[in-house]
Amino acid sequence: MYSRHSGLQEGTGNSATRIEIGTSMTGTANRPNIDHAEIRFLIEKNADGIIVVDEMGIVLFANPAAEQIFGRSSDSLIGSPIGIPFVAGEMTEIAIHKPGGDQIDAEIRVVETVWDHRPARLASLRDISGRRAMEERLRHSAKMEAVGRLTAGIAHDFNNHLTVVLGNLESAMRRSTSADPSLRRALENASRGAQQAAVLTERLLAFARRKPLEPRLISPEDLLSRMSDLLQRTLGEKINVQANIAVDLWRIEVDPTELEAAILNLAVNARDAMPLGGKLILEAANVEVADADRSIADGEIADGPHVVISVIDSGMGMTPEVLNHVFEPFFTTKNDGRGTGLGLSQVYGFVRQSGGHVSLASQPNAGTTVKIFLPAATPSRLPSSQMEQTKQEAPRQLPVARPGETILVVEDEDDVRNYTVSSLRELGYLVHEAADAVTALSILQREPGIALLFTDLGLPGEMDGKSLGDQAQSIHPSLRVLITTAYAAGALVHEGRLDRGVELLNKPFSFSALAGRVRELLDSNLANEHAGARVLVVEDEPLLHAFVTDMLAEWGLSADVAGNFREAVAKIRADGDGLVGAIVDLGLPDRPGDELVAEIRTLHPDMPIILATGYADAGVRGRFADVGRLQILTKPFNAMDLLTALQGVGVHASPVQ
Amino acid sequence: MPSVASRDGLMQGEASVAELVLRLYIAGNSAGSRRAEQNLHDLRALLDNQAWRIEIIDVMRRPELAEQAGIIATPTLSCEHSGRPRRIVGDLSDKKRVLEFLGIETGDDP
Repeated sequence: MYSRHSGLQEGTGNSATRIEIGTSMTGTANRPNIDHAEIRFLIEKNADGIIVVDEMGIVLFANPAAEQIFGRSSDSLIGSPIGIPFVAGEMTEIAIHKPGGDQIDAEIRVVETVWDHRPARLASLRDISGRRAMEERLRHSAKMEAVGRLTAGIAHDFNNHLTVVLGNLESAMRRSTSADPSLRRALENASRGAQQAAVLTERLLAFARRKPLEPRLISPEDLLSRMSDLLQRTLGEKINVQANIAVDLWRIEVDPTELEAAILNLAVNARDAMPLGGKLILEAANVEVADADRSIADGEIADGPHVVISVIDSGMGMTPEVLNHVFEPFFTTKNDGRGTGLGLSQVYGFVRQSGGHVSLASQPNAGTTVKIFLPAATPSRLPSSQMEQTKQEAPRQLPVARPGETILVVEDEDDVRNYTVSSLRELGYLVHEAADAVTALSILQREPGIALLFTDLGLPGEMDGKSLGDQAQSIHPSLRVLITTAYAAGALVHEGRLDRGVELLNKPFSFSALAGRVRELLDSNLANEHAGARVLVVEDEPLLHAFVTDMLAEWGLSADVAGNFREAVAKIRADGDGLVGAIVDLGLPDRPGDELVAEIRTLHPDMPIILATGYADAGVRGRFADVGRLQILTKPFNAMDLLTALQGVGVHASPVQ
Repeated sequence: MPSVASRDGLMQGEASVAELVLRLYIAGNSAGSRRAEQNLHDLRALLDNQAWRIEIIDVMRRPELAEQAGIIATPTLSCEHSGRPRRIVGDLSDKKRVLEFLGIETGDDP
């Protein structure tokens, strides 16, 4: 193909032409002696497009890179009236229009030269479309990031206020059962308004990728078939819904509720884009994303297997200007009040938070295609037993406290803390409160009976709720920790999901959600970490240790029985770390129980101890008042007394369900 | 400012060519297109010249006109005379050269 560039190819007869170029470019007398073949090589191989244009603006020469940029052969370029390139300063930018309508942004630099003894201009052109697109993407993602931060900040503060509003409204309604019906109605309306505000903040958090997701390993086929049935029924007769779902789709690990919401949001947009009816296609397929495919999704998608879910409509489409803004919260083209401007924001936030990518292609009057790329789940990462369908929660009675259950509430916002404390007290819990982590820790040291720490994530001072929880659990390993936050910040969410072992209650939370979550956590422990945990029972009276053993078994704990001081010490020395606590009778046959208490404290300073005694007078209580994590259990005691005592020292026992 | 000579030149131009048709081909709303358009209007204002007929053609909206005229880059200013049109490519910020191209002599830099 080089043979076409005749101006540089021919023999010595034409050589003056090219020497002239060299002269004009270097402008020195002592330029190196370059032969024509080398100049030709340099120009032909130059990555920049080079064209020579005469004084009338007619192209005289074009190199291969210029052919590439113009999308035309040099034969067709030579002789065409492109025009004289005028550049003020070093360079300027022009747009090159290729045959077929594609456009390239190019930087152009021009030097004056002589070609065939006549003045001419040599223009070098550099394709900057890729750089432009990259800059545009960076600018766009920086903008989305900034909008996201702003959104998350507003939603966070709003959720704190809503917690107070909703909580107090609920409380007022509970107290106004016999009140004036118009007062009740007013309270109900206020509650509804506040709940709608809570829905709004939740959507904002979804956009800002701060909504805590509950990813589950799901088979997308099931979910998509359900969705296509639903869409068929709900979109109306004018919309023809087609499902085109590949079999054997890879499993994905996403929050199914959010995925359904995303598809529904896309379908609603599609419907609104087709007021006169049309076709909606829901497609799903497996794709292996490799480097080469990056262009399909703006180059921000990770390599590897993905499930791509497409929602395609035959509607009115969007202009490039609209496309540029569609993911922004509150951006809507539905000016008649149908849209909230939060539908695509949810899709964007959810998909990005799930490690995927959204691509959107649309042309006015040609319809819109939205593709959601979700990474396929690695089979080894999650056992299939964790695969679940979304559960419907049945309404239930509010679960209340068992006697003596104690909770520490840590929250710096006075209103939120007051509401939380009064709600928990209303449920029957004993409640301690603190406004910061340092106070909380000192309360935890002082009160070993605290069963649950309910803390805000954001706390004043150096320690946040997560670190407070970690530190508290290192003091009381059996302490349950429930964290509340107006959004799941980075401390809890990694790669879009909650850290293992972190229990979260989102703000704003309702009275019933608080009740349910606290109860669930307090009840969950036996099934998990304390299941089968051993408690040392030091008791010489067989009937009594049989009763204690039975009770412990009912609560999921096993008893390790010792009949006297010597046996007890031997067991503690053998496997003290395996014991979650000790129940010690004060009157033992060989040595007094209080000596055993001292011995246990020497060997295991933190082991919870219940000292059972038939004569818990002031003297006995005084003797043990300074011993931490010790409860005195007065004989006779019943199951409930024992349970309370166990919980009092931080051994979590509750009836196995 | 253009010198008096340039005004004279313009008057002569006006007399000899009844109307100078300047077609500016641009592409959408890009920065380069807007700059070229602005520069052309500035030039006309500078010369206080009513004899130019300026046509702005957006090749995105009227691709067929660009095709007919053989426009392969934008912005392009095409000066339509009888016979072959003369063209310049760029955003027209080098005003002195643009005036020279249009056959308008300037005594100093505009």
